[in-house]
Amino acid sequence: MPKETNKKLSKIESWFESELERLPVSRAKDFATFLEDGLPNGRMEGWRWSDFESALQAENVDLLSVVDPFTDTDAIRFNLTNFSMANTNHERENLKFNLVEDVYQINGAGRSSLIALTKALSTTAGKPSTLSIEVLGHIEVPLHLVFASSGNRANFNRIKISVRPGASVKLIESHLGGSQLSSTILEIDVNEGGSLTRTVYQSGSDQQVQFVNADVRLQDNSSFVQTALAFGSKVSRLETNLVYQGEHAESKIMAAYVIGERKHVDFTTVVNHSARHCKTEQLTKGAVKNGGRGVFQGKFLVPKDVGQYSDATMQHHALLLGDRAEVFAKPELEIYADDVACAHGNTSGSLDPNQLFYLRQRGIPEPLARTMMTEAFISGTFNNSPDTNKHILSALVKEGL
Amino acid sequence: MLAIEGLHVSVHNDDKNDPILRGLSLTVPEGEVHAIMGPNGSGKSTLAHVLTGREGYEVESGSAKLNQTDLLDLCPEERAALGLFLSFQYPVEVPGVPVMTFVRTAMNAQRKTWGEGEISALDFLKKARAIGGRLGLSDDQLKRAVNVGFSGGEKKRLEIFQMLMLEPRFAILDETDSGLDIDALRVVAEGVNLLRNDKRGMLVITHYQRLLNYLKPDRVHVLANGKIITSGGPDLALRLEAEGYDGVISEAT
Repeated sequence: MPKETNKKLSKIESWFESELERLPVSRAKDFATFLEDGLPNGRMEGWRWSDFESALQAENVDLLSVVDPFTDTDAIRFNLTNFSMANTNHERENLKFNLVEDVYQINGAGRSSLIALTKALSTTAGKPSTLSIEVLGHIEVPLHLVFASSGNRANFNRIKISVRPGASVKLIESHLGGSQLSSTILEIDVNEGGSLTRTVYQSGSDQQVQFVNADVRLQDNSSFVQTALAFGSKVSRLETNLVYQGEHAESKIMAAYVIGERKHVDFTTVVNHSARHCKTEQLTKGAVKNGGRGVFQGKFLVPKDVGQYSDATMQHHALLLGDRAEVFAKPELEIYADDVACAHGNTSGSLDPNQLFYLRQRGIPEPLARTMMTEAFISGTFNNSPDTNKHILSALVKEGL
Repeated sequence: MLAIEGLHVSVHNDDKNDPILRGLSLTVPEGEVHAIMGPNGSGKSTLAHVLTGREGYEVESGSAKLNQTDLLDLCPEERAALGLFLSFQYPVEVPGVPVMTFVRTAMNAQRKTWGEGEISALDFLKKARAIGGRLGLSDDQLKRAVNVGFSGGEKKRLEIFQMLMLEPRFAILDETDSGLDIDALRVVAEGVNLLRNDKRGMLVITHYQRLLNYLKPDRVHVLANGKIITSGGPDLALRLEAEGYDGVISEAT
């Protein structure tokens, strides 16, 4: 589509005018892909409820990031906004990291144009870059990636994490906003017998737009455990695309959301059981206040033959805390193999009035009773996160309610 | 003292109001235990719910006062802070909230209303262990989520546990004996008796006389068709057991 025919695209493009000229050829191609599709909008399949195009029309938005709740001084911390090899001196056993221009080409076909845009424009200190992290063995302290921009209209990051066979690492990500558009794409490879535990925190102002996409590939006997807590922003989407490439691999995909007025969170996951004997456990729970909006899209794809002996459960449960709270859910199981165990459950409702009365009869004031019940409803999603993270996440939920 | 005067209560059903309580009057003086007996559908549980402020009931006229304070205008937690406690006929499961957290939050919320500071963690724990031990509730059970995975009998013990922890000024026991075996009934009744003193009143709602063998009420009232139709001493309960409600009701009306 020629850009002059589409004013909205021209506007987004104009943000990056100065950078476009300096883009290497491969990235210019990605940018062209983005221009063809335009920003994701409500007319696109998979984006019906999360319209990035209209969310990015506003002028003069605030450019403040939220405070990072993960402050463990032992963590190996990468501040992705001010990142440079020079100021990040993490000599650690079993860890290698590097800035490279491009690694792995994510297959862009049929994928979101935001991925193409992020591929095109991820930079560090003004240079096109991808942060590449290799985990060579067991790393005890968490790896903490902080995404907090300030003052930039848009912020793009691209990270590639490779966990070598038998290696293991705990990853923490703080997606704190600070740009009108923050977009991060991660590629995570967990090789034979390796494990990665991912804890994701997302929060942003009601004027900011955030996108986080993780492509996860699991090899034989590897494990991936993800725990996400999102408070949303004007529009936020946390997307996980997981592919089993080896047998007997396992994943747990846990997520919680607490959404206040004028906030929006979209949890989208696609799990492709393209190897035998793999196991997926997915649980998403959320609470939405008046004027907030939650979106859950989950898809399990179990192909014929290669998907045989898959074991997968998908659960999404939402609490609507007011008459003007909204939740949209689209759970999908697409199963072509015949010897599999797949189940899903999806509910949304309000707090149980019998429970509420029981708490109040004991003297607990109504607002506190509601908070306690909502907290209890959500807390089960953090059980697979390391203890210290679990406490931080629980405290954040309490505060957020 | 609990004083109920001419209480008329209805529930809204299919666009019409069904009267449940039809001019109920009842007084339970300080330090006394009164029992309310009556056939199914006579309004016993409605009375318990209206007194504690559950939604879904329409109070059309009458009053209910606890120690001169009008209850009916207050929200449930305000009534609880005045010292009104209900042992539920069907205790509610609260997944994700441990018993200890629940009771401590309730206790501290009430204390706050009275202008008192929070109970110390140690004092609370000591008290909970002592009372739990007396009622046959283990530390492990007290750490579990409220009523989740508890048997019918354990739930009733947990109601009494909460009552002993919160030391209410006035307690309503709604069919606390239902679902209990003989041993559990004795444990529960002993727990209730521990709280009896010359200030604390109790209203015991029951179908059967057997609980009253242990609780020894000062007065027994028969509730039928939304009002108290006759009252008497403990003997009345024995008569009901022997003659059934029909005989006593037809004689009284």
